[in-house]
Amino acid sequence: MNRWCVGFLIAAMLGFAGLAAETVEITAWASGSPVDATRCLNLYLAGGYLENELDAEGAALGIDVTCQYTHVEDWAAYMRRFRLAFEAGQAPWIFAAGHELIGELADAGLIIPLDEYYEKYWDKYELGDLYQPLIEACKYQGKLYGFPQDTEARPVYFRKDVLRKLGWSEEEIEALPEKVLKGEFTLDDMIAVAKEAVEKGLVEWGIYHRPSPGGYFHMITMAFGGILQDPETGKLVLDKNAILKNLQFHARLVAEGVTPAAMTQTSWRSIHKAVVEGKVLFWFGGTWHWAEWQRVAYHGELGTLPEEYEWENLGFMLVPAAEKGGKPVTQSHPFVYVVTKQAENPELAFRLIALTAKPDLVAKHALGSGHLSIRKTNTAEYTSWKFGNAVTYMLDYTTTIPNHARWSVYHRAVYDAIQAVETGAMSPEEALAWLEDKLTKELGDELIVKG
Amino acid sequence: MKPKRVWRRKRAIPIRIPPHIPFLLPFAFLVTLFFFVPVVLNILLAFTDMDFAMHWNFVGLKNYFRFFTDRIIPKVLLNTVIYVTATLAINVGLGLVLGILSTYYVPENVGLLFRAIWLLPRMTPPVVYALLWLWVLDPTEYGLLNMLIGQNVNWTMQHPLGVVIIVNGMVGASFGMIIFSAAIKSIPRDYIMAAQVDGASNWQIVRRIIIPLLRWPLMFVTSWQTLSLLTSYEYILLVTDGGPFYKSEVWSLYAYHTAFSHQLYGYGAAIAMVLVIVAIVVTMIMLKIFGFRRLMELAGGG
Repeated sequence: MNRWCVGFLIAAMLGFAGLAAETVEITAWASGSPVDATRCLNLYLAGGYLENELDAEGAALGIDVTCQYTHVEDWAAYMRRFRLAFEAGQAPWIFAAGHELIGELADAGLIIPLDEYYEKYWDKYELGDLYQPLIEACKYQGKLYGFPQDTEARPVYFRKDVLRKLGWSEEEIEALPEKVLKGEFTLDDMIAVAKEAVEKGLVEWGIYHRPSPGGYFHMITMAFGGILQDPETGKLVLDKNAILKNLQFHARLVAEGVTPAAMTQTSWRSIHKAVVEGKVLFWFGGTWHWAEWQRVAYHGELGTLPEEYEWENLGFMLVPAAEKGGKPVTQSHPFVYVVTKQAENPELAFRLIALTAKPDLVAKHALGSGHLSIRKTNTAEYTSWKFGNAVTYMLDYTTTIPNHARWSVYHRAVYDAIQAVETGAMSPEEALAWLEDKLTKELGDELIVKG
Repeated sequence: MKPKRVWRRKRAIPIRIPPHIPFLLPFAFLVTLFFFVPVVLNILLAFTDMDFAMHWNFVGLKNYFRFFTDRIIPKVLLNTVIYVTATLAINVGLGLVLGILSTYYVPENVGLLFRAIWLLPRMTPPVVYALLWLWVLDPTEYGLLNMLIGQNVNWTMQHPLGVVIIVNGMVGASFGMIIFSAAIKSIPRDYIMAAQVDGASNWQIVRRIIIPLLRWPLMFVTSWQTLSLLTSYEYILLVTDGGPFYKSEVWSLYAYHTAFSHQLYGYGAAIAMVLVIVAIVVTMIMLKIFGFRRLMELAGGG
């Protein structure tokens, strides 16, 4: 479907482009979940703005944007595709990716620093209005390689209807996010409630987490007080204490019977189906799922969820603290646009992506995809968005994953270790020993082993 | 009289191109381009630490040292031995049973239909075949196998290696079946008839006549399948992807994952190189055991 829409738009843009005297073709690749297609569509709309600007500057130049949108489930495969396209000289000008991939892309010499354009267009495009930590997330070895596209938080969703059946009052349910915030409701409490719901037969499973490598697994390390990167040297850190606790947490989820041992072999679709149908109590999700459930028919009877149904049956909270009185966490994963070395006119590419940060386009993407705004000044439509307002406080508790050239090795290995523990292939201690051995061998000097 | 000019044919220096060379050239070119060059590249690659950045950094034998200290390797090797042995047993054993059943025991046209059905998975694209298995093995109550036994078993998680052995065995058996049934058909009927006249039972005919005469096809199928099982991984990739946590990861798949999922091209190439050496050794041992030289002598004019 998306491909057809994109194809149609491309055809339309080509038609218009034919009318302009001289046309520059700007190519882009973007990706994400099924509701993130605005990562491409906003580039088309920004293309219109850019054309107007160029007109006003007296440069009669047509802008013809061609963007390929892919619904990615396997990031390693998608990155490989980009790598090979680059090798074949067919890389797009603009590539949209998670901020943590900047290190790898920059190190391989595939993308260019954008500092000079940031400087040149800082005032023109009011870049000071963007949240600075998001711009910081584009930094690798002191240079800015990306431009923020969106951000989000990763809450834990809970089924209000199940808690009601467990005998919780409406007030108790509404107070849960607040209790998490104060550190009164911990990960242990969460497991206890989940176990109770499973034992009473109210749900099939108590807690679900994502089935593929992703930020979630590191967020749990950070919930246990761990760090991923050394702030001084920028090297990756294997925080053994925190990682062991992370592994023990996942082993316990399975041992207590609240999470299936085959969690990492469950398809995304059946996970979403179980969450929207109330067959699982807690789900370590992301804000974008709120929008995804409204647009993708996961529910067997209802199909797509009406937003009222979500407010009625689904609540969201930060990831509870590991200990009483501890700090809850969440994670943001700023998505960024980068400009590749094969862009023939990097300046135009930068201007195009900077224009996607205009408040109307930001709001369009945020509301459509459940992501949060990257800027402080927003349209009325965005500021009156109930869900967006309800989750924005989470950004105060957020964490991010590191920008490092070898991040994907670390990222994948931690996931493998958690899978080993959950499926019973290794005990948490064995998995930690394996992880340490693997990472010290593969990362060498780039790793600091702590604890 | 003007002497008649004798036209002496200038003796052409004969360029002696053996007549078979022009015929071989196109194939030599293709073999060089698609087999020889990749092999050389792979050998070179195994001495680099090439990763996502794709730089040719030569690091000597580092990848090979790493191979021998990699903690996953023993697991992968054991999986490979179990997988190749068990699948080979199914491929050859079941292939033989099918071949004999469909040519000796049942009428010709029934046998033909039977063989055609067994060939279906081989004609199906691997992705479709794997998908069918995934539906059969689905861990929910909607999985075909779970429906039949009436309980929810997560087959790919609890028995990953067993699953990949059966999936590969089922598709592989048809290869042996075709070769064996063709070989059985070429056994002169006289032998069988003579045995029947002498009062031999079916089992005796199979044991004393058919199987001894299938010696060379058996050798061929066994060595061919051993090599292809050692190096192929597509069904495993599609059904379990080597998981959970390397429980069904075999050697060739580990090389693939290392190179293409973890983007460690240099190390992946080294893992593949060791596999190539092992495959060569295994082939030589097999040819020795089966007496390949004798087969060639017989075919050559013995």
